[in-house]
Amino acid sequence: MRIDPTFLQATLSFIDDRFQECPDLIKKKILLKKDHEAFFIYLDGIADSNIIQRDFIGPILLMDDRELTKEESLINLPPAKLRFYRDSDTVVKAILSGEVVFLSECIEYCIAAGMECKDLNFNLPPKGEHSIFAPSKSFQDKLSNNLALLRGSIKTSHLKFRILESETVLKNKIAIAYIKGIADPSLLHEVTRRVQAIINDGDINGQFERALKDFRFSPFPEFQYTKRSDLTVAALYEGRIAILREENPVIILAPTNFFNFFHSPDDDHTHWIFASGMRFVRIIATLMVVTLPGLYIAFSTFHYQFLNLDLIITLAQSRVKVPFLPFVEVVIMEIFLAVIYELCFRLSNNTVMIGIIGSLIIGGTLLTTGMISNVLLIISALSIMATLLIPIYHVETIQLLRCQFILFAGLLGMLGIAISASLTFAHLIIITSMGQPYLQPFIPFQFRKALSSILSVPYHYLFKEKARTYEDKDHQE
Amino acid sequence: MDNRMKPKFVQLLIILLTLIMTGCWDQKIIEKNAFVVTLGLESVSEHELLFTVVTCQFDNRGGLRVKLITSRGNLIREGIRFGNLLLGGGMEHGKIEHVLFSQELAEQGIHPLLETFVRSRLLPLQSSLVVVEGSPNELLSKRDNLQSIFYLEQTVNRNDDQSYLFKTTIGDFEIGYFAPGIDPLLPIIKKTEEGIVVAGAALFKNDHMIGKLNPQQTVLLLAMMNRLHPTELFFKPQGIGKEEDLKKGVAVSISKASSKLGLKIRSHYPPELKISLHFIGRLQEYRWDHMDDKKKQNEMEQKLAKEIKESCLKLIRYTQQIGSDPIGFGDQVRAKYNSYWKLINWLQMYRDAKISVEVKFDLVHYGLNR
Repeated sequence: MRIDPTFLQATLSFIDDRFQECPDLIKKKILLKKDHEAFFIYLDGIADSNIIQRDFIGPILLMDDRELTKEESLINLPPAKLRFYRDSDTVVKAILSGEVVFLSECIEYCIAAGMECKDLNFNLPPKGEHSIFAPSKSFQDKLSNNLALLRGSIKTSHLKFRILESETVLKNKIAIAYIKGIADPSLLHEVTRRVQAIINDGDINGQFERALKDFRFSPFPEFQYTKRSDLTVAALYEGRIAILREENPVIILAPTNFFNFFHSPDDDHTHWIFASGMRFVRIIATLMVVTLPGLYIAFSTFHYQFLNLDLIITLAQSRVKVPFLPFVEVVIMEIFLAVIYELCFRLSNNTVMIGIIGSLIIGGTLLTTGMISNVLLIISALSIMATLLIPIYHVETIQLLRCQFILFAGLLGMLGIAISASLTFAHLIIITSMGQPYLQPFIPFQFRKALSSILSVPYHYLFKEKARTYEDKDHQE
Repeated sequence: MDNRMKPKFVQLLIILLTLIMTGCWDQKIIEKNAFVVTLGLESVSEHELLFTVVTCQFDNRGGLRVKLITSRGNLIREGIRFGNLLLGGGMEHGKIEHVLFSQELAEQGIHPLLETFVRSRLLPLQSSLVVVEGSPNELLSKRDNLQSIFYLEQTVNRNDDQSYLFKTTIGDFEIGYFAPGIDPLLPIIKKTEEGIVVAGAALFKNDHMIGKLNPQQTVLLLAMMNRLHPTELFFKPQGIGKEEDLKKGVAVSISKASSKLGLKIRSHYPPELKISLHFIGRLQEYRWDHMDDKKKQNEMEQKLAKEIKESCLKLIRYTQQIGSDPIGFGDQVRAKYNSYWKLINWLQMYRDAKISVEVKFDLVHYGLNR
């Protein structure tokens, strides 16, 4: 029998080259009879290692050299999907699609068996990130499962995982996922540096985000948090970086910008006109939540001239019974809403019940006893409903901003609102997320990106953008 | 932020706040105040004015109380102070919707009375000015209830939409008063048994009322001023309809009207002015006729154009006669031929100016649905 290691070595070096920084690639080396080297190669998580051991590695180990070279004896192997590849590129594709590949010095081709993992329980809809049309696979606690989920969704060897391990006794593990050729290498370097610094201190879950932030005193979230795999995949395709933690299903996406918070997973799965319309609705809802109570105070305390006479009469008639100043009235209502909001968080099973009790019974009683005016009740109800359109990790920032607007409006009326808006805007211009400007692509202005962050642009346009980035970067390499 | 910048930023903030905040601290809680909605002014004697102030305020049950306060004095502020004394303070003037002048007062000149509106930052320049045939006090005291706040406003606004009346704010009036080549125009209303009726427009020379137009003439004047909204006109052109018929005339709705002014100037001679008007309208009411005939349509268009032209010429002659220039011919001459303007006495030249009118009327719809 002729022994020719050229094919094995060429294929192995090709695979090594393509799967750099892919720690989920399992390369099991075995020695066949007469000490011939052989390898079983597959991706952990998307190929089922138990079945591979039982139905592929086991039977092959029992075969001798002569049997391995004969296709007639190989077709008796248990796997249903059995293929023979002679081309390295096809071998890589086979590995990415969940096949296990057997390479040996004795044979000039590789034997591949389809053994995709089927029983991963990813299909639980993520809590708090509900969507109707988008695929709802969610991440789990186990890091290796999460890596497998990403690998299963992005079938390219450009998807890399950089595993960082702490040097302390805790041996905490963090994976940084990115797509080579799309993600900015300097950004990747920065993320790696910061994450390494944090895990060396032995802290992963508790203060991780706080330590990672550029501006620790800023209330604005500098990262996007998600449990959804589709959002993470989309972010990776945009060139962003995902940080996956051991025993934590929440993925951190960096960098992020202010306009990411108005995107929803459903946007890419509905018609672009409606999706863009909904983005505008979310922006208007955020503006409403932030400014409405402040405007109510400003108009009813300082600037009645702004209002139409009909509106003055409606507003005054609703406020006549209220014994407090508008500012005090709004503060009472805000405290009441904050209590309900916190309750809903703590007793997540009875959210609907609390909502009904809070809004109908207590709200109605406040109204009939004349503690608050019905115009304010409408404003508060609108604010609460609008809050539900905003991503959950962003809500607290928005509520803090609302308090800021209320305070300034109570102090200085419209001028206060103008000052508050200016300060907020100035702060937004200053802050960065992983060194990237928070208000990009508007400041600094990039037309195409700005358009696609406000509108949910049609697919052919989006893909043209993505494809070009890929090609350009590949070309540069 | 840089540590050195922090104190500077705080200092800047404090300075800015103290500078900009002037006047922002006075809280005016809506329901605790009474609002002056309408102000009526008329002269009762040579040295005294009668103020009629319509206010609205809110009682503890949320009801709206409308109150009419009458007082005498020489200054608008005096009238307002009386209201303050009566209601125990808390009277706000920022929402005065209308200021009504009696015709006699308007003829004496109203500019000096409006001075406080321009001077005070709390009185609104957006209040609309209206001339009343008769006494504003009588007109306002007719309906002393909730309606009286809105009734006047609705009457003025709806007629303004139809161009039977030209809504003028204090700001507009003052611009017309101070601009050398244009005179202001105010609406006239009067009280009848049925309610408030629009009586047309008051023509002014500077701030003195010197003439009157009826609603139909107001529409034509607004068309020449290029400010016509879609409206309806009624004509009784000569030769249309049989003389013995009870039903006479034509009703036309105007959907669009445009006006263009042509000037011809020779030194030391009165200017020659030409207004070209183009109306686009629909025939709304007539008598049974063969209006689907192209010839008949042309005939109707020509007759309507002739009728409008004659009315416009009559109107312009009247304004020339009394010396009021609401269309702003003088303004155009001043803008385009300024050296000529500086040499002449415009009032004299305006009276002698040769003004011609050219009217084109297009009927786009005459009642036939194909």
